[in-house]
Amino acid sequence: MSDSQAVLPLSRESSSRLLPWIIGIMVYLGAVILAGAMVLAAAAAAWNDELTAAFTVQITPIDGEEDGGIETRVRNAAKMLRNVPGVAIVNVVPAETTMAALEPWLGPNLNAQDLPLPRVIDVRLEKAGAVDLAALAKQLSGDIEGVAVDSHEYWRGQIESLVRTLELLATVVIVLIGFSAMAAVVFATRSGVAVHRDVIEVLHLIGATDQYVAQQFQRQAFRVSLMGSVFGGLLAVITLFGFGRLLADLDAALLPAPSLAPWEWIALGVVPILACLIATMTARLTVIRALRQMP
Amino acid sequence: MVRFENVGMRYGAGPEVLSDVTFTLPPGSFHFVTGPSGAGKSSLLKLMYLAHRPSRGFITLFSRDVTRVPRRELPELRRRIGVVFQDFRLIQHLSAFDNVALPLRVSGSREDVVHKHVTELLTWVGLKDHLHARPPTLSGGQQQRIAIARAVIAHPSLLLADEPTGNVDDTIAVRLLYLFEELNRMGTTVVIATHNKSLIARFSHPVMHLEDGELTVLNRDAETK
Ligand SMILES: Nc1ncnc2c1ncn2[C@@H]1O[C@H](COP(=O)(O)OP(=O)(O)O)[C@@H](O)[C@H]1O
Ligand SMILES: [Mg+2]
Repeated sequence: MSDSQAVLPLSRESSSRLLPWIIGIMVYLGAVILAGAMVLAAAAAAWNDELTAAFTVQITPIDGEEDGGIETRVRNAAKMLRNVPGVAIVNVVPAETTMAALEPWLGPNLNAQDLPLPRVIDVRLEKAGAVDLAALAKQLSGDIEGVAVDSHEYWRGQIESLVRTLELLATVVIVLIGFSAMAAVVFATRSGVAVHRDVIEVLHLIGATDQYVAQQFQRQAFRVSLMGSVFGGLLAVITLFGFGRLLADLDAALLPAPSLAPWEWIALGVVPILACLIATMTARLTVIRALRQMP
Repeated sequence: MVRFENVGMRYGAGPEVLSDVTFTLPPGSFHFVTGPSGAGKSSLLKLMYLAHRPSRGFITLFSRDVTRVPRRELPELRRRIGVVFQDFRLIQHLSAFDNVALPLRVSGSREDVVHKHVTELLTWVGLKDHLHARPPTLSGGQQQRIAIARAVIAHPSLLLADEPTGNVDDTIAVRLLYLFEELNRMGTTVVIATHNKSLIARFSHPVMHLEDGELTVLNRDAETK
């Protein structure tokens, strides 16, 4: 004869029947949000790499400069840049391209002579950080007039603060989800203690410790959260795979392929385990606290 | 074994239901507690099985001042006390076997030991064929035997029974008391609360009489101070 029959019939209560779903949904949301945050962080890191591996040089027209003067400065700058170690590609953007890019704002009847536009040189490095941009900018502007180096720092700052904000948001949301799950467990456990007050009293009177009684609730919380976690976890995996395939089909050059590293899958796997652990511990603490009020 | 000194008891902020109760029960003794309904018999037993704390006075159990023991030490003391509750208080969703097994399981007995002892005892009280029956499916007398089996399974040093013969006929009641005497002969101190005077008359054990929460000892054998 085994102790298979639960001393407290906790699984028959309505609060117990609801709890696996609540925990399942919380695990699902937690896992999906965590995965989203990790994919986003990876994408941002890739963008950042892209941006640090390139910079732009602008050469602005000078008032009263002779015709073609700017062309000479552009050529000189390009020549200098090609000789810098670590520079892979120097691409002088033709004036027409710049003009075309501005057409939507300035209208089609634009003439290079009418509006002195700056010229742009795109520079791509062999790898991120291969060139000391500050020193290069100093050198260039020392030799050539009207040169400015744009290291995309502004964009990088923007992306970084965006990623930080999203990460913070994801953390806050996951913590809130955790608290809600805990609240649900506390609620279910308290109602369980109240419903089974008589049986608990008998258990106490025949010599059961609070730990023994708490164990009954703990086991139930573990069973329930395990059910919920398996359900929520499976749903999250299905969602993530589905989403991954959708993005792969999209074939957008904008995004690096959104995939999770092995350690990130492990981090996702921790979510349901953590949910079970939190549910079990919460149930235990709740019962022990409630039992202290009893004789 | 049990010693009460000027014990008073009240429920919440209500009036005292026991006042200045003083007595000593030596180890191995057998006592009846009697008195009219509402006199405080059940309340007196509740104090003894540590379900309630007195509002004043001292209670000593197993040489421990139980009015002061910390809550975490209560389970250890309660395991030495077997109780047959007035309304049995069996756990309705558990089988007869699991009900009787509880005192052993809560104190961490091995499952093979539990199985052997519980089966033996339930066979002895004539419930061999009802090991897996739940209390609601059994008669009052059968439930009572489960309650008694649960009270004695862990060999308590103190056995308390609150109206154990409440809803059985006299012949069964007498047989039940023989069972308690048997346990008493093996060393268990027994206290039985009952208002059944004719039953008490058939035995020679000392009687503690309660009336309006005050104890008057009728039988000279009950040692008091
Ligand atoms: N749980 C309780 N709460 C408040 N009063 C109670 C409670 N139990 C018993 N009483 C009161 O205590 C007194 C003694 O009751 P009890 O000990 O049950 O007497 P007996 O067992 O001799 O019939 C009665 O007046 C009863 O109303
Ligand atoms: Mg009573």
